Amino acid sequence: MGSAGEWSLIESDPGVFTELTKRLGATGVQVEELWSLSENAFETLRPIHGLIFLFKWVQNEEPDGPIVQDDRIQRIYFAKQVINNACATQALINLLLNCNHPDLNLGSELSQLKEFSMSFDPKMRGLTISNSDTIRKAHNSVARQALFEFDGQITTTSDEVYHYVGYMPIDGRLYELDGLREGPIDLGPIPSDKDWLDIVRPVITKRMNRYTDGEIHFNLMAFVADKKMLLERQLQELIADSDLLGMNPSEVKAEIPRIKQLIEIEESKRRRYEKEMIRRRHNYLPFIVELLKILAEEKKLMPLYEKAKTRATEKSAKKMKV
Amino acid sequence: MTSGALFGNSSSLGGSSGGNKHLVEFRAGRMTLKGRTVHPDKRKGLLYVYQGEDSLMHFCWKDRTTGDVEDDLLIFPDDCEFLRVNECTTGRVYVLKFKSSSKKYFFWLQEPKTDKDDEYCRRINEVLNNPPTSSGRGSGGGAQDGELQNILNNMSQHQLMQLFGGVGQIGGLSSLLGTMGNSNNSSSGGSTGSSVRPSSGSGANSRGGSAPRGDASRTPSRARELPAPTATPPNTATTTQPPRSGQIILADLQRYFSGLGNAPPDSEGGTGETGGTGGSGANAASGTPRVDLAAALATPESVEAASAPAAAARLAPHLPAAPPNDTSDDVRTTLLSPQFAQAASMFTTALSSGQLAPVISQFGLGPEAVAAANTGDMQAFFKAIENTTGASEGDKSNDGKDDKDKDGKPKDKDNSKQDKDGDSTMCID
Repeated sequence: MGSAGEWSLIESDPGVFTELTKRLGATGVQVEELWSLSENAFETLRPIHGLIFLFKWVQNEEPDGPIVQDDRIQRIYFAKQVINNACATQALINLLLNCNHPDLNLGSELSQLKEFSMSFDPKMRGLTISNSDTIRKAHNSVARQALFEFDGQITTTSDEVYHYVGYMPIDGRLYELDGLREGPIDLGPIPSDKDWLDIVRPVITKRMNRYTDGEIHFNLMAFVADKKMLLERQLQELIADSDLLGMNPSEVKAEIPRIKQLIEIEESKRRRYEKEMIRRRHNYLPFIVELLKILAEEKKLMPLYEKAKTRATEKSAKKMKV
Repeated sequence: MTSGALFGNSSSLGGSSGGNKHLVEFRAGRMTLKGRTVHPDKRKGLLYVYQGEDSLMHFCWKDRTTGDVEDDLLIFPDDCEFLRVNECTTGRVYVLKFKSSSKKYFFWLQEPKTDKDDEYCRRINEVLNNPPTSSGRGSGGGAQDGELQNILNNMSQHQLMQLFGGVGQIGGLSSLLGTMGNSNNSSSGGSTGSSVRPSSGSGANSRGGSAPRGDASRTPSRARELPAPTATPPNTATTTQPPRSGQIILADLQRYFSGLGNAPPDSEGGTGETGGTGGSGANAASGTPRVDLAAALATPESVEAASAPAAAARLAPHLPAAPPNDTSDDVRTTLLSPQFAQAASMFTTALSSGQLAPVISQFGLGPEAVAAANTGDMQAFFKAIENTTGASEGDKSNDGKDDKDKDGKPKDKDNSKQDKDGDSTMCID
């Protein structure tokens, strides 16, 4: 389908984002959900390349730091958000293109994008992204399948449009990448003896508190290294060089199954993501219609409907009671 | 991560009503009279009435964002009236008028659903003019239910603006202002108020701040209302009086609205909030509670019927594809999956808004079903299916017609094609 420039809404789900990064051509990374900012939560996810804070858009807030307008713009990939529905993809790209970790392989599409648009200003970069057919197709390929033509306007709660803000250490400083701003926001230096997560933690905590008070829904995700890749690497090292690691044979013996188990967990997570994506892309309309027919033939459709209607009426009656 | 939204009952914020319960309260914005025109104040507010220690009724308006109580009027019984301004065919504008003075206070309702408008109006009048005895606490116009609050607290300016009426409806409001400007009298027989159905905001995420993924909730659309049309609301009477000093006011309003409309990105994409294709769902207009089809189809009765061998065989071609090295979801898993629930919910929305009719005709369900789908009446639709399948068991409905879905792709190939082709199976053309 090509109504030029149409970007569908996608779910804010780590499985969706992980798949999206893959479809954009990047490897070596994934997106995980973060339930807390505690050290424990981070520990299992390191190395963490960036954080994604997502929330339902709110009135213009004052930025938490000065907006970068000097020549750092040339070295920080920041693209302004141009298309609303594309906000997740744009935020991900902002993070991906600033990540210099050796494990990340951008792939040809994103590498080309970076080369091509690095010298542009933020707005032009945003336009470049939104004009990219390849990127748009990748984005749309993780969106829910429409039931039929024209239903692009029907959405459910999980498609709510969130605004995405990335946090990332770049060249020794912490930056907030918000596509609706004019540039990256400089949140200060990261002392060389400190972990960037320690610096970002209070910043995000403050924001979370602000949103909780305002009862604004938000969520936090981490942009991390591909866990399965890391674990497999660990396993290899263990098997090959256990002497070098200073471990004795019995320790190694215990460690190997543990790592294998963690790998299995990652694999089952990927299988789950895959199933969810298949379902998401599946058009259930024929199934629904066939089911309705079956129920109707067995004279079960109306009774089911009546029951559901009664439940719905009871529910709303309860609400009316003041 | 977020708490369930609790609507701040003023007493919990301390001070303004001295811990007295609000007898009536609803979200409303003020309007300010400047010279001969009334201008809406964009701020989100709360209008409420409480009975003070002095037994007198207090009519108050509070800014919901700052918590400041800006109006606290003492009301004597029989001195005032709270009326709907009928000339305003779009925004739900009300006025508090006094007998003892010519002072008027205008408000515009900010509640997303209009179904309680009249009730609020009636209750305010009752409570102001028949104050409860000091022992009673009145008709308990206390806090609204949690879900609604959730929705409202997350409404953006744009959504509030939709409440007030989209740009196309400015005519009505300007006519009102023109009238009011001249006669300082709000009730000059105008057209009946329309019921603009506002969009319900982004829907309550009843699981708190967790990522709204499908698997965390079975009925993610539970609190979601039918998206409201912005361009063509039902019942909008065209303005009966041409605006008198209308032009200038119209420009002011347009500027105001365009300012509001700029704000958030979440409703601009035309997705979700503005179910624009003339969706005058019978459902929402009459206030019929929304039937949860997803839940109905996932009940044990339904699952059992669908899993029986003959039925399962019929449903098999329509199941999602199997992932490599794994089996596909079976019927039971499908019926219980969150993605199916979402699809059923979208089906309900599409059906109720009449959008499903053209598609339904492709499934060979018969003319009665198509007709019902056109009206958006789910009950009639289901009845029609029952009638049709009863009459010619397996013959009409299993005609080759249902072997293809709308885009003409044969169904069994459709499934495996979907995840390979990027967006080629998106919204079909």
